[in-house]
Amino acid sequence: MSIIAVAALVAAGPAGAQDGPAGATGPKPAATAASSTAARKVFLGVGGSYIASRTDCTNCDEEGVYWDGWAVHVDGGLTVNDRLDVGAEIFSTHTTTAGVGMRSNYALAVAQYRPWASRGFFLKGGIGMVFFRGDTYVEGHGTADVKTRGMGVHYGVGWLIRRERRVAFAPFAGHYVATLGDVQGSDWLAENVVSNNWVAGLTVIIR
Amino acid sequence: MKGRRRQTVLAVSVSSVIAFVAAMPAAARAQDAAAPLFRMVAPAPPTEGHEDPALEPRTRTSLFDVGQATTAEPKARRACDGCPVRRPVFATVEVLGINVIYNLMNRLKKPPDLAQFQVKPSDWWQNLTHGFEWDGNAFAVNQFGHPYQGNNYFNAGRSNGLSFWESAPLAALGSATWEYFGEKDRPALNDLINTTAGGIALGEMFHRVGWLVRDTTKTGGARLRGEILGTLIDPVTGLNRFLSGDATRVTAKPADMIPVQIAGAMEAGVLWRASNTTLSNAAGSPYIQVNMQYGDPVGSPYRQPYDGFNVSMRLGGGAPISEATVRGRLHGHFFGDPAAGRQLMVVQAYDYVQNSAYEFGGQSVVMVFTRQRHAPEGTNLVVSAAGGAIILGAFSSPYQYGEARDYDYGPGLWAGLGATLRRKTTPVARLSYDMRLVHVVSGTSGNHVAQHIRADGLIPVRGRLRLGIGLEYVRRKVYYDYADDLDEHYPQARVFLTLVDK
Repeated sequence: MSIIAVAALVAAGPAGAQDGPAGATGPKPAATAASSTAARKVFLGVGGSYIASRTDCTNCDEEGVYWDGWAVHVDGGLTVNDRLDVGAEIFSTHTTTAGVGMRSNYALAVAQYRPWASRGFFLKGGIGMVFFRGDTYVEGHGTADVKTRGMGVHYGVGWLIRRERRVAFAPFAGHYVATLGDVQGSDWLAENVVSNNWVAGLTVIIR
Repeated sequence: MKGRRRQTVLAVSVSSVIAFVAAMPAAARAQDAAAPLFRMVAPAPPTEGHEDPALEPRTRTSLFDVGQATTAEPKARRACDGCPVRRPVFATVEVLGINVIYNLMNRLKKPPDLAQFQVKPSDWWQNLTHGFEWDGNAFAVNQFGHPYQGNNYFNAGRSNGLSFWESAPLAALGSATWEYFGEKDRPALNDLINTTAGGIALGEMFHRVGWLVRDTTKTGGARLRGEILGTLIDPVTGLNRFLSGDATRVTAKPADMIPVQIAGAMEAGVLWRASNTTLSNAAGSPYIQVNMQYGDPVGSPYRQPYDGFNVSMRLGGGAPISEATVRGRLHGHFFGDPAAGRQLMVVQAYDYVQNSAYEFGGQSVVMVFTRQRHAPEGTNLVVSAAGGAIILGAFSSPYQYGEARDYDYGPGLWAGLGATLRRKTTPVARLSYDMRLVHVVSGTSGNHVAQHIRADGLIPVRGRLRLGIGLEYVRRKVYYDYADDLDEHYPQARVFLTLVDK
């Protein structure tokens, strides 16, 4: 998570959703009254992104291999208040190298927080499951069709453009981590496989 | 190498736990000096501690403003008279400073452990470009040391006027920056989750317990002792209070830091635990356990996160710290009249169990439905049903991962049922069952399934003295993908003495 991003988060003033000593007082942001009507609204987002990926394991080559590819995603959920959205996300990555493709589908519970209610900057985090399938290329062993599942974790930042409109846009950057445990191929066993995926893309959001 | 490091972190952690345990009776006395030692009912929260938000505009804080507090200070920067000055940027800087301090503390180590913390920009770049992995540290380091470190980050926010939810990202920030920049090893996903989630749970718990022992209406030696004790429990908050001058300001205590009630008990006894055999073959281990209920999570309306929580900590019984649990109410909703006692809660759970038979640690979020039935003379029965997600669980394994890790990691599910008979706030009998499933994503591939039945009861001996008996049975099956399955059982019995409120 970006240091600057979190600094901005905590510098942003009182949190609308909080009921602790700090959040319990202070004037509500100017946007609160207007946005309170948006509370509990449903949102839907679709988007795409470029992805750079590095997958390794405890018995893999230390240096690992970087691949790249693309990803699509669908978000849906509720606007809790003028700062917080919660919901679910399907994030599907497709990475290729030497003509061999792999696909990971993340199913995550996500939360998106805007430190400033009046600005578009947001932080996003999520956790859930990841489903992996594809021809997995292993040096020295060729390819093998692998299907497995594991845990997915995500964090990222972005900026919501036209946030007051029905259709908004959100360029974002983030990090998706898929941890799959042991993955077995035809004649190999990759132990404790972890895939790090750095992404940059755009989401179109409809409210 | 990584498994042998961070003894310093653990030393700090253990000292804080000891301070916490030592402070609990004092916390009780500070809360209500007229009450018996182990049960206190706090007065109604004062209203003057919370000003009308509409009358109190905020001002932006400057970057490194440490906010020297004086009685003439504008109230606008405090949520209430006794609340800390709101300094969000300073809180963020402080989080990064905590990492520097941890790094410097670890640099006191001798080679070869020292090298791990002599980080250079090239190490930062290596960590940023390689991303996360799972580490191989010892159980206590990962499941207690890291959450304790996260508690420091979290309380940098709380002690600088940030709310619970505003402070939560600081735990993540502190953890992420430590993992990327604080040490040479690649960032560990288990550390990120344990430090963040565990840091929030321990942090809010320590923060509120620390506020129990402070009496901001007093001056002189009594005030100083309370502030020092609070600092031992929650060092970051205490340090900020001394630096800002709040440790000597005479104010009302922040209303949000006054629980509707508080109850605590310390038990001392002997514990027998067997591993795949009968209890008759087990040797007894002495132990001391502290149990505390802050607020009334079952019976009181929800006001804010952790306005009600339960915490227990067991010293001895097979390990220096053999058990620590926190159950904090994140949100609660009563169905119908709260007096009818039907509530749906979202509860954050922190678990740490380490003994001679098995280890379990976890960060969880569960939905809990409770029903409270009142009977004459202050007796009530609370029944509950729970279900939720284990964000990250750790179960002991016969197979080793890395240099020092003898346990598996993974997310999972948790379900449970319970019934507790209470006299006033004191549980006098309890029966519970829970089941946990952990799907291994780091370690030896497979699924851990553990079932746990527990029954506790108190028998009157004399006056407030009670003889307690506790029986537990844990059955764990592990379905490994590429190794032989395990089927283990751990019976346990406890006999102890405790003092209760009459």
